[in-house]
Amino acid sequence: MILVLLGFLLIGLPVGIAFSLFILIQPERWNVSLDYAAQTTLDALLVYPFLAIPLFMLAGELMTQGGLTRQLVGVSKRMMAHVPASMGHIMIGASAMMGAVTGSSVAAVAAIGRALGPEMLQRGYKPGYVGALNASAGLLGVLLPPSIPLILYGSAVGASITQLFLATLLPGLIFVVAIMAVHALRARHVLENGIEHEAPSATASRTFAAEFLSALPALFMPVMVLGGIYTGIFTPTEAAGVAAVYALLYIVVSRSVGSRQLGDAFVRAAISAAAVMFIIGFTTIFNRALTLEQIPQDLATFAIDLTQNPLLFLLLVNLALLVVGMFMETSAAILLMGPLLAPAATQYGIDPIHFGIIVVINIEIGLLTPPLAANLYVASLTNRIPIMALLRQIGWFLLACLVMLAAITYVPGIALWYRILPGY
Amino acid sequence: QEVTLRLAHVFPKQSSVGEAANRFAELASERSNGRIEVAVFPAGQLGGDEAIGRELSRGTIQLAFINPNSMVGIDPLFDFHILPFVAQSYEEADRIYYGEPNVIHRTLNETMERHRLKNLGYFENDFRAISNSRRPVASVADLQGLKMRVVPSQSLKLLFEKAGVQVVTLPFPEIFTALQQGAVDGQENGVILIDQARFFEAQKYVTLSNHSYVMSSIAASQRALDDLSPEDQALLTAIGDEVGKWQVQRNRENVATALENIRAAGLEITELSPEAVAEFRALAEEVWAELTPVYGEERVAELRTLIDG
Amino acid sequence: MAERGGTAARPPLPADRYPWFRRMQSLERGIVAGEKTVCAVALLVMALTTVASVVVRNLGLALPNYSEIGLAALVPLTLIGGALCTYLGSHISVEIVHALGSPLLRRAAAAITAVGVLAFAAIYFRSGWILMQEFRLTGDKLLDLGTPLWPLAALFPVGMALMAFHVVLQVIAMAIGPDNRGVAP
Ligand code: NA
Ligand code: NA
Repeated sequence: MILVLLGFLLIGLPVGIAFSLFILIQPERWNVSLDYAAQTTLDALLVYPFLAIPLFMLAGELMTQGGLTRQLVGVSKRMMAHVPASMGHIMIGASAMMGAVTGSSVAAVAAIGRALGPEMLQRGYKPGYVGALNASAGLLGVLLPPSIPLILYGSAVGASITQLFLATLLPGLIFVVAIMAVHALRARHVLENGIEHEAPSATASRTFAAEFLSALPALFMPVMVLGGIYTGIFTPTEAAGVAAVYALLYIVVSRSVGSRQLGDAFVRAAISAAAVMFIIGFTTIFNRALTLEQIPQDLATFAIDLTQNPLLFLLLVNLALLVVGMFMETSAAILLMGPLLAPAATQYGIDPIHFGIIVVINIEIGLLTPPLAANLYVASLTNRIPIMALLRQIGWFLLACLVMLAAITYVPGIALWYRILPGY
Repeated sequence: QEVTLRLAHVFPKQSSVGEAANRFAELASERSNGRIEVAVFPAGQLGGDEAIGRELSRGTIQLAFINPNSMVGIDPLFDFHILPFVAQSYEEADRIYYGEPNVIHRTLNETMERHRLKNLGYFENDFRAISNSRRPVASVADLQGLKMRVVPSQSLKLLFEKAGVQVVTLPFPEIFTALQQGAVDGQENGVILIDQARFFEAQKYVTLSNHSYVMSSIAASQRALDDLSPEDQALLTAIGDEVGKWQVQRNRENVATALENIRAAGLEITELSPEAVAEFRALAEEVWAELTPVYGEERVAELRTLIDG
Repeated sequence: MAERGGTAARPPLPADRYPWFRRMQSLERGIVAGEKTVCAVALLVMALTTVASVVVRNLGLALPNYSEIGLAALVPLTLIGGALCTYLGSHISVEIVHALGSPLLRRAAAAITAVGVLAFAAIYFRSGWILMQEFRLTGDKLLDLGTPLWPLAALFPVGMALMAFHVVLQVIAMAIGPDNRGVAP
């Protein structure tokens, strides 16, 4: 039966339509109602945190149009003058910064892809690689706090969210290093001639101070967004809107872009955002059908019942979660699998905080694994790169993710490092 | 013939509601000799209360442990029963909410029936409490100027606005981060939820204000019931009644545990003095008056009589 | 999913032989311009209402939380934008067939895809219609500002009709045109 779904995808049906149609051609089999299919989509769309996705896409587009991105890249490049293939590292660093701002991977991919993707392409990186790096580095959106999936896990399982946020810091930083290592190793192979092109509008003649000064409006942006969130002026979701309006105001005040181009920028961002929201809205009925059939629930029970050995249990849990992550959307998967697996993990003596990090990383890796792979899809859209080209480049990053997952699973200290702090 | 019914709720599996839902499923299977199977979908697996309510009404979900007040977007009468300061103690709550059928039950049942839902029994959500990170709240004046997330209910929003609170709307998954980073100072929910959603990690003060008592409903889809024999319908109603009563007792034990957890986490817990309660009641009285056009003159008058006992 | 954006980005067609088709295409261009406007405005509304809610909260203004309107704007963005993506070929899809297959295979895949999209559009058109009627009857609304739900449900039939229209034109273009690249909704 799953072959039908794969068939739908392979003949080129849009992903959202393929998943939805797969369920709707057999409504009785899946216990869903054809009459009310649209309600499932409506419920899936009317979720506040999703506002961040189109808004970060808009912010990225406007930053690029208005020249803010160019300014940021200029300063960053100067600071990393001696690092080879520095543009990729800048993208990873920017994703980490974005990770401290947003609570969702997809939003991080959208913002960074829109802002830095064009720069990387101009510097001669293979398009597929740009998308793969963008999609993988986007996991930092969740691996660094704030993190919506960790909040969902914590409140569903009853684990301390503050501790989960502390626990994810070290894995998040290790992940930054791992992705940077992959980039350092791969950069030569994915660049034309093995080195980055110079930017078309080289500003080498200007002094660093002059460049820094002219980049102040751009540099102020991350400061404002991070500062606004951590002083409680706005929530991570609202930060997306603030970033977009800031970039819009900059464009209006600096008059760097004509009104026609500005309109085009809105349309471009809207088209990408629509394609992403379309997938979110219309794959939900597939997730719902799986839940109603208790398929993920049975998979969890299977993993729990198969062994008495905690190490083997963790392996099985990882495998089960990776499979679930292939087919399910993040929030649904965590709300479903967290409460099913956590009690068993506790019985095996696995710390619930440690286990939470394992569950969330697993399900986040699902954002990189087809057929339902939101990060890949968003990276493909925002960078305008075919999904197949991206798939050819994702392997190394997935490998890095799996190595990191194994380390975090079997070395509890990585997640539980914060226990050395007083008070824990 | 055999029938499988889907039962949905938003509470954790291990909560008193989660246990009650599983008990409902077991009893249904047992007492129907396996004819009625109930598959339980806990923890919002099938969506929030509002979504579940719609599905019950359409028959795509057949049973639920539901908070009808969350369905106020569907019908304004759905939050009549959580009007502020109807009950202040468990004794009052037991008399008003679980005693003789009265205007509260009639309103809820009729509103549910209008939307093709059938009440099978009542269960307890919780008395609501106030938490915040600024200062102990011992009187109405202490609320002045606080930014608080308040549940989307006509009356409770109004109550807090009248107390000088800046009422903020936030979706549930964003509350924790907002509290932690100070985007909002506080929120109001039962102590069990404050414990289970870990809000206490981002808060310093809890006031056991009991400003509203939330009774909820074990509900069935009328469409689904119509497909069952009268005997089976009676069977489910009896089980609903029984399981609801069981849950109320169980929940009160859990409230004590939750309160202990919150206290152990170092939060300062405040109870209202009789004077403070009187102050809040006066505010609540204004809210009742203001909302009388929504709920109807007669209904509110009846509620007043009921409270005076 | 390479985007064939811009205004005059359709593959060349022997439209001269079919004037009625040319008229339909110019109608389609007008519709597409409308779709783009709706999507761009939805995005602007999201940005402005989100920032407005930040301002209202921090200044303690006695104004409602407008972000509910921004939230509602996600629905036209998705549904009207979904139709637009069908026209532009910017939906996310796996494009193995385009890379590998013979022209015949590509045509077959394109035909099945078109049928699939039409079936999808029909199901959600009908379901959205049912939903809209129900919401009009019950007066369901969102909780903060009381935004009614029926106009949001009404966007399903609208969006699906637009999507179907674009697909039908693509099929006709494929049938009458020499260009055998196939439909890429
Ligand atoms: Na984050
Ligand atoms: Na996946």
